[in-house]
Amino acid sequence: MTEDLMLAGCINNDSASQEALYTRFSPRMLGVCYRFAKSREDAEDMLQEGFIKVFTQIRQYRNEGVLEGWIRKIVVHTCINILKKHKKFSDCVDISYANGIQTSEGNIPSVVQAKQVVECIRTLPIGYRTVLNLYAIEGYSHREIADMLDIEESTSRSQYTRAKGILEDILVKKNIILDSKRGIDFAAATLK
Amino acid sequence: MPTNHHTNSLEELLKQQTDEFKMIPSENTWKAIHKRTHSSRKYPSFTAIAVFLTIVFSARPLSSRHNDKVRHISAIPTQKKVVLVHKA
Repeated sequence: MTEDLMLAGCINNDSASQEALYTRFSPRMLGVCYRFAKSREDAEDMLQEGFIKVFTQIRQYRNEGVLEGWIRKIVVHTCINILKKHKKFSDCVDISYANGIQTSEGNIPSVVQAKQVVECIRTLPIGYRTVLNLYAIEGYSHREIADMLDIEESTSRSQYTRAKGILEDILVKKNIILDSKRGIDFAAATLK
Repeated sequence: MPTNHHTNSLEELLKQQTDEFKMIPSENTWKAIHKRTHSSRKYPSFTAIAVFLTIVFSARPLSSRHNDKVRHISAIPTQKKVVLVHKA
């Protein structure tokens, strides 16, 4: 089914078109939800809410930009709204992680398992993880993140810096990236 | 709208790897979405009838109770006024 046919069907609340759209985009969108969620079950709940919003708001899609991007934006906002009901992001700052961690550059191997990276992101505390997901992966600015999470822009910046530092440490420990500080080529063994 | 802020290799790695990450949702997720997007439109008359019957049946006992009360009040005999004449 072409994208235009699928869209036209979804506007008319046609089940087959909705299922086709869901089948095409749900695996990637569940991956997005999983990065934000506490568990797979929570991720599926987020996905469910997200797609219900997609189908109820499909008339608002104006063919400007990529359909996947439009769906993704709705899904991300749904994830944030669900998380906001359960968590105060401003309470998630842990200063102890911030000291002494610098982000290294130029030490990332080209081939890394996507699942490993996602699981490493999911080990971060919820506040750090959310800001990191929104800034580094979804591409939102700190101003936009501050508005979305009802926090200060400076809080978003500091949480991101800390999140990046912790994540880099985790990736080094898991042998996914190289530890440039200690000059040890961990990743070479892993990626053989 | 999201904009591109990726300035270093760690961010590039995250972006690339997470974009490739996919998971297959369970069948129940689609069933739940389908149910919620179609159930209310599938039987609109059924819902309307259910609401109507609920209103009718909840209003009927109230109405009969009111009638009983009116009947009960009308059945009470009016008391005759007794005039006491005090003879001095």
